[in-house]
Amino acid sequence: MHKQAILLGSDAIAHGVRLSRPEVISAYPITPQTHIIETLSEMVDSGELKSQYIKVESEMSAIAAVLGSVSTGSRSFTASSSQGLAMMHEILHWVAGARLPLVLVNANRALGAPWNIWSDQSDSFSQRDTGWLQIYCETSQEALDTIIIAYKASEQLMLPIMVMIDGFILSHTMERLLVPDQQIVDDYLPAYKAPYRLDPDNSLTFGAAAHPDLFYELKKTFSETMTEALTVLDQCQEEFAQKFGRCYQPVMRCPEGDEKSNTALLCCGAMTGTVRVAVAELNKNGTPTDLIKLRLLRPFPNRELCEALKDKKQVIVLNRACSYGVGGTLSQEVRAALYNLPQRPLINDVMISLGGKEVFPETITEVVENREQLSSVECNWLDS
Amino acid sequence: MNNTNISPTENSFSKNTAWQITKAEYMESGHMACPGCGAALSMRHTLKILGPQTIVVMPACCWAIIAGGQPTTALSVPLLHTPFAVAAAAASGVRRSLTAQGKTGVEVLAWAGDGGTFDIGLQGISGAAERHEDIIYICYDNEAYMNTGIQQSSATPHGAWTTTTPGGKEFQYAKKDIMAIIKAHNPSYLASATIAYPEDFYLKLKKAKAASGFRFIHLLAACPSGWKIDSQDALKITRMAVDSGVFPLLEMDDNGLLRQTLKPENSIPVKDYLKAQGRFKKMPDLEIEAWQKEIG
Amino acid sequence: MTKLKHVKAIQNGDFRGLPISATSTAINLTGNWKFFRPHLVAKDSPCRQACPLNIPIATYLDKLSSGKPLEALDLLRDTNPMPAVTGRVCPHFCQSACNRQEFDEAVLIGDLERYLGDLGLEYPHPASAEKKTEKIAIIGAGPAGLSAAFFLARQGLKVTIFEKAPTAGGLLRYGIPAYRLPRSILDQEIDNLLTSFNIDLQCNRNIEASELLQLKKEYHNIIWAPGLQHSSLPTPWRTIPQIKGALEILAAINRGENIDGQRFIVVGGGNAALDTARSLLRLGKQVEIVYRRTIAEMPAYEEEKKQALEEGLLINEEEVVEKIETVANTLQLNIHQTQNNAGRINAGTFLKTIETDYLIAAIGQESDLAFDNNDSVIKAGDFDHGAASVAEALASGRRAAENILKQLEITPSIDVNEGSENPVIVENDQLHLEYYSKKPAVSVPELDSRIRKENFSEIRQALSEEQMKSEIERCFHCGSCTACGICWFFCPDVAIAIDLEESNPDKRVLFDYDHCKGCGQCAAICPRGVIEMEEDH
Repeated sequence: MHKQAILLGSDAIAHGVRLSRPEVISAYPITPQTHIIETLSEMVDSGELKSQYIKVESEMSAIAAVLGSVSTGSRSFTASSSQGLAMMHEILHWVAGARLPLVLVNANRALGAPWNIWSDQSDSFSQRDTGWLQIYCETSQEALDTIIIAYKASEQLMLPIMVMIDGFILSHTMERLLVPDQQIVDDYLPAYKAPYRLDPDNSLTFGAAAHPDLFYELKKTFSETMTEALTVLDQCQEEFAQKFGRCYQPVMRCPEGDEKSNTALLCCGAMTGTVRVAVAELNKNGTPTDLIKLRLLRPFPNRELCEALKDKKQVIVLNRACSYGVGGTLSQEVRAALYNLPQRPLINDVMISLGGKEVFPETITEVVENREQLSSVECNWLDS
Repeated sequence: MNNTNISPTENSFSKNTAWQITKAEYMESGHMACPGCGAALSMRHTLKILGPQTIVVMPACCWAIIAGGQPTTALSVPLLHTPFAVAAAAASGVRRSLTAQGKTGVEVLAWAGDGGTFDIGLQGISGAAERHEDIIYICYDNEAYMNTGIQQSSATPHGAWTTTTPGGKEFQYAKKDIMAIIKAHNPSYLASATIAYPEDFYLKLKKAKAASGFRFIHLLAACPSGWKIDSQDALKITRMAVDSGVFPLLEMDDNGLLRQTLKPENSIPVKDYLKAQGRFKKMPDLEIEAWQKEIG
Repeated sequence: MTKLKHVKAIQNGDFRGLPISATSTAINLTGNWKFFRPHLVAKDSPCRQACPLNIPIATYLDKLSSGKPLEALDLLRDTNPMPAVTGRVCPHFCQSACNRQEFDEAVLIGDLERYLGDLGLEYPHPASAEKKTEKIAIIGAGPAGLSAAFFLARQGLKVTIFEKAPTAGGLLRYGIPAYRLPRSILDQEIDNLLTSFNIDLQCNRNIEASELLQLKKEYHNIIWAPGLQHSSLPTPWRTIPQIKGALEILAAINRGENIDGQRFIVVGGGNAALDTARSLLRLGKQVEIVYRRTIAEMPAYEEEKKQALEEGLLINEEEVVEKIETVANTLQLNIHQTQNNAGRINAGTFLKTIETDYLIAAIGQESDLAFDNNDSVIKAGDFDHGAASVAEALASGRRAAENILKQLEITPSIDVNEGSENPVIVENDQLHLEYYSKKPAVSVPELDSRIRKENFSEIRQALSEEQMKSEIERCFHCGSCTACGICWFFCPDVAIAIDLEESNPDKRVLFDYDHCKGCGQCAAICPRGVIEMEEDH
């Protein structure tokens, strides 16, 4: 059913991709994503993975190549990071608007200037309006599993999904994990049968100009489908849990937290691991703290988040991406979601890290212990 | 210049020849091209040659509009619209998908204007050419950004008026030598053609179809509004581009050399070609003479 | 789960709400963008206009090039009763008018006509219209008389031809040498014509003008086409037995009679002069021509002049016979240089004396038939209009026939002027020849001059099948839609269809005005100049 292995995060992702059997992979190197496509390249070279592997000359072409291959009916994969993802921006919109199922792994990294290759989430947060589903992973196991789940959901929705891992923190670290057998993955994720594709025997035109009224209608349908995505993703994750024994949800309460506490921390991505340690420490030391991990940024799980936080007095959002002039991007999302609660908690917007700035458990405990001093209006930047 | 004609020049297109072309149409009427559009005519015949088992990939260009808005389409073969810079890459993906599915006998045609080829799309073309992707890339060159309203591109000839070279004469750069650029990638087929010389056009397109790997064809396509000419003169003036030597009909031979495939029966001075078009009205005589000297 | 409305729709193949198109743009009636629209305007070709018979050359050549030789033949014989003859002996006014001359060389219409004419020898003419009771007499079975008979008999009239000579043909038989018109061809052509329409030919019947009243009793009408029977001689020459008329000598040669004498001087520069001289040459005689102007000014057909010179015929140009003396049985001719005084030719200085057995005068023809009152007589051919070409004789016969049909209130079953009622002639600048390449006319083989001058074998050979095909491609078909498809090919709006089966050239191109944007490229490219733009309402 599965094999135990100790793998580099990038390799775990490559296995997730391999098990999903994409027919076409486009690849362009960028730190810290590069290991993923290197490993895939080796898998294709050894015959372990039967894919067309396109070594393109830029990220724009990387995403365009899979735009072409998915349009022609092939399950496809590409990966990127930071500047590369930014370069894809125009085509990210196009792929989603064209209603194409695709899985892209983004190794989160800061965007220059100045140059910085380390982890933060401003690259993918900048793409949240492109129409892609966005899932943030805490561990390499989660990333491997999420790729398989993402393909299934994507192909049901005919919408693309971006799977995020933190650059270096996950991509370049080893983790003990389970690599599922191909057979069980095949059982969960059958081959892609495109409901529409470029086929000379059944000619269709994709992406022709739409006049304003029609455009509005298309986008309305798109938006409604995004809402349906929450259900579809739930179903896919549920089925995955049954088959593979690992359960994922858009909003996950961490067992280290105290569910009954008035204060909750909220974060996403690999940092959650560090926050778990800090929260365990806080609860042990008499500062009851809850911990909510957000996996899904798009579509935003408003209902689930409200349910998780409806009884809290204070929610501290740990941000690793900034919308300059407003504050932490994640905080804005959470604020908007919780606005509809009859009794709204205070929300503290904390810029916990950018460009790979190290987050220690002590950094977290300090923030929580001094929570009375936190502004609930302004973004809270750490003292340097 | 090598004078070997690949085209039969004897009675090249007289009685009955035209009608012997396949009657099947893969481009529909009612498309959105301006009257007399060279790009529309070029597409019509390109598809007649490539046939129904063709997938077209098309970036932003006049044709993105010509092809019609939803729910209509001017092509009865599959068509993928893409953003401006990525026709070659998307076409690569289409081909790889077909290969992965084990599908053969399908042509993948990237069909782009001069902006999408000479300028914004050049990098992606270079990549696809370098990878020897099994696609036919056709640039229909109307020598400016016509779809956005006639702005200068790097395919705009020196001296031509556009809305961003309003004086015409102050634009000092010669047209980019796209053929040389592509040739440097060692494509499996490379040619320039125009539908105004139909037999040469047909032979080249057929050769391109018969070959595999990265194939590039540079088509000159008249734009009546952008060239400031009467729509009825579009063909005549396109022919003059060839007859004057401004747009030689070329093909890369087995030794990787570009050679002229059709030597015009009636050579004309560059001046005649330029003066037939409103866009060159302001071009000074001295520069026309210099151009003539360059051509010989 | 109803919550998944859109997801379910996609999986069920319902693509509403997706950016996918599959409806043809043909639903857009882009034809309403236009201000001008193309339409077909059939025009006449200059070759047809130049032809005395008004033969629709562009059209029948179109049939021939479309691989329909019998249809082409029918079309040709609608206007021309003797294409195998005219294909050989007509000076081809058509070729002199051919638009292709300015492009490279005229199309060899004559040879193509001959190709079809020869084919026609094997095929009877199409059956005549319903038989009618009216009877017509025709005097003379030369080209004009035969032509008149053809056009009348085709309408079902009962025709009788009276011919003075033992065989039909008139000038064709007795005036034109066999090397230009082989007798077997002439015989077949006439035979085919007579038998196809059951025309009654009575040879060895000389009709005098005085018999007019008698004939009128028996026939509804009479056409007089006896030709010009005699060469005209200057009065002083008439008494000299060694001076003969060209027509008489030619007739004798063509009848196969023995010709006395060895040395001949032929005076004149027309076809009769050359035909006589060249025929004598073939009999082994010594022949010279004396002509008072230059060779270039000789009215004979260029081809004849060229061939005569090739055959080594000596032409004394700008010379004149000034004085004739009879010494023993020979003639002493004083030859003078001529002087051209502003068009008037006068004898100048003495040049030489030539001794000859015979002098042949080829300086004019005349008739000895005369009517007291010309008004009520229908005449045709040379007898009517003076010496002229065979085509003109045929046309004259046709006019005479039409005259009679009109009197009898019979509408011809075939309108020989169809398509040229209001002729707009296609001039060279109305043609669009971008898609033609220069291509010289095919080279038609001729018998070698050294061989041919010893016999009467036909000089100019027939076009081979291949040559015919090659030559026919050169025809621009000016003013006549051939359904070539060039307009269709170059239409950027897929708004032109071609009806290949349509026999009416004016209806072969179908414009889809719902989608034609009026760009005008079809009009600008039509090689034959038959598409024009008109205002769109």
